[in-house]
Amino acid sequence: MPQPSAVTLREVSKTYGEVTALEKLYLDVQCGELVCLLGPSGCGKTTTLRLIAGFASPTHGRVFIESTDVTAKPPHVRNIGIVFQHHALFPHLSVFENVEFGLRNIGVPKPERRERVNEMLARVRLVGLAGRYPRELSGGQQQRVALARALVLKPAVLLLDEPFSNLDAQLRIHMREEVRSLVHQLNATTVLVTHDQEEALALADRIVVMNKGRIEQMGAPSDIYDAPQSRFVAEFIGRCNLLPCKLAGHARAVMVEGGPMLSIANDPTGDHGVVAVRPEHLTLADGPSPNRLAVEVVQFTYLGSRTYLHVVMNNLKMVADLPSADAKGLRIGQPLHLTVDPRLVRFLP
Amino acid sequence: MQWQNSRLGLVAWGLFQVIAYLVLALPSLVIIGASFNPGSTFSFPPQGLTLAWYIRAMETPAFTDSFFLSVELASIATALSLLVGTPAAYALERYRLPGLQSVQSLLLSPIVIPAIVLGIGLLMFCNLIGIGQGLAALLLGHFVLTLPYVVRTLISSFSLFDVVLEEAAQSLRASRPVVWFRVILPNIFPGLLSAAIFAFVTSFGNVALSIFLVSGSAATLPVQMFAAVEHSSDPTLAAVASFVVFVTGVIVLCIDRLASLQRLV
Repeated sequence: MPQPSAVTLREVSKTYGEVTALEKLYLDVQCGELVCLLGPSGCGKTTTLRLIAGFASPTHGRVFIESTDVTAKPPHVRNIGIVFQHHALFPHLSVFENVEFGLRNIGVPKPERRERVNEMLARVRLVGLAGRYPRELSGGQQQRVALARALVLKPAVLLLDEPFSNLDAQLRIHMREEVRSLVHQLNATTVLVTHDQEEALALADRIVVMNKGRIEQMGAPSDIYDAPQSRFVAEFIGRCNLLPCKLAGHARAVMVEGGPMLSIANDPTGDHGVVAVRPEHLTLADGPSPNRLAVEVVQFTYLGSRTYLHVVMNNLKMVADLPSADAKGLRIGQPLHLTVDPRLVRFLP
Repeated sequence: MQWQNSRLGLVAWGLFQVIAYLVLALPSLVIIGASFNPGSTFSFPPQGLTLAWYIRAMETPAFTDSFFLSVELASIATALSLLVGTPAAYALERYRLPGLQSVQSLLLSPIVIPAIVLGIGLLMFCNLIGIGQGLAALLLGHFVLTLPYVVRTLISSFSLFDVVLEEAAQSLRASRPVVWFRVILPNIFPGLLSAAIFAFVTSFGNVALSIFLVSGSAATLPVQMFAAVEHSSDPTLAAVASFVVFVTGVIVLCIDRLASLQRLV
């Protein structure tokens, strides 16, 4: 059954003078969905978020929130919630007052305000800190206040602008889990902007990979990872070996430049391109197997459970990500064969 | 940082502070001393202690009337400057519009132009538009005088104020007026306070402008004192001056205490 759309962007463009930040963007965010806008800085992801929030207006196109055209409406009537990178808590208000701020603005009577604020603070485990001021809180606590402040209004969409980039590595992973469980509990529609692919893979129901103001690809995290449709996506999400190749004259096969013929998962187009092979999909070939690659070991990077094996095949550099147990006993300069499952090799134009 | 750890360094620093404060405060100290002198001439150090000159000052309508006029004038000029200067400073700090540079220089020009030149100009202007000398002219003059201080102070306040807080407030259903009254103004409160002090004290102590703009019947306190100094030198004037120092000091202290309380909250 089709869900109603929480956010819809229709042919949205944004230019700043000569610079095009976004070009004809179409995006639908379903109710209850967690969509992640992922891309390098300058790809237009933050611009997209600001257009949804109403802090910027599109040069062309229309923005809908819950089927209402909000293109010309100011932020405070758009029914959105936002958590900023630096949290942007009001320094002159206590935790309780920060969370209460929005409820006062929409005229919720005092007893109900208190009830809703306390309920929200309980959800983010901050009940004992209601009287504190933002500067008396840790980074993680500040973030939880920012979340509570936005979510207490039950917005049509929760916008998260690089919310974890300010936290240290451990806390980042912890807050990531916390945010996911919170938005799932509340069934809150969420748009998360990040440049961190791991964050996107871990959190998103759907990833929208952006580059140079356009959408490169969108889909479930596993689709994006397993079946990248462009070199950009293949390289931006996870590590990837891109091997130049020509058509082999067969369906689902290519000739790697100066190397063997590879069976692949999709039909190549044009007359040349690259094949994308994830490092962890390469394994040591024992006995006859399809897609054998004759390589020579150049270097190891030992990472505990895994070992990165840097190899060359006719001057083409590749990386294989092997279990350390498999890599044990290999020497630099040693010739060996690697193999890869044809279902995991994709041709990219 | 090493000098802070040596005894000699600390003594030298203390001595430096004492000298600096003395140089700054000495003129006031001489006046205050003279105001308690029982003799009928200006003399320092005082040869006794009396409050007679303070009583005399309070019984002189020329001084009391002009004191109240000065307070009224400084209050209204300060209020007007804050009312106009706050949005002006906000716009100057936030928006990079063409021509803003010249508006900024224009707003700050009264600091650069000598007050006496400004005074003559304003007098001519007031005569030209027909309001002549008097309270309206004084108000206009003091508004022009205090506005640059307000704008300067508030520009730095706004530059420290994170614009993301405004966006956060908007995302929390705050309309523009709510953003101003519940987010911007509370956060720039210390700046507003110091702008108000600057403006008030500048207006309250001004002679150079006021002297052109007062009408004969109603002079501001500094103008009255300036006039009094020409034909008398009895310590009444010292008492009035000391009183002004006292009032200004108390205002600054109170507001400073208030502001630091505000920061503690």
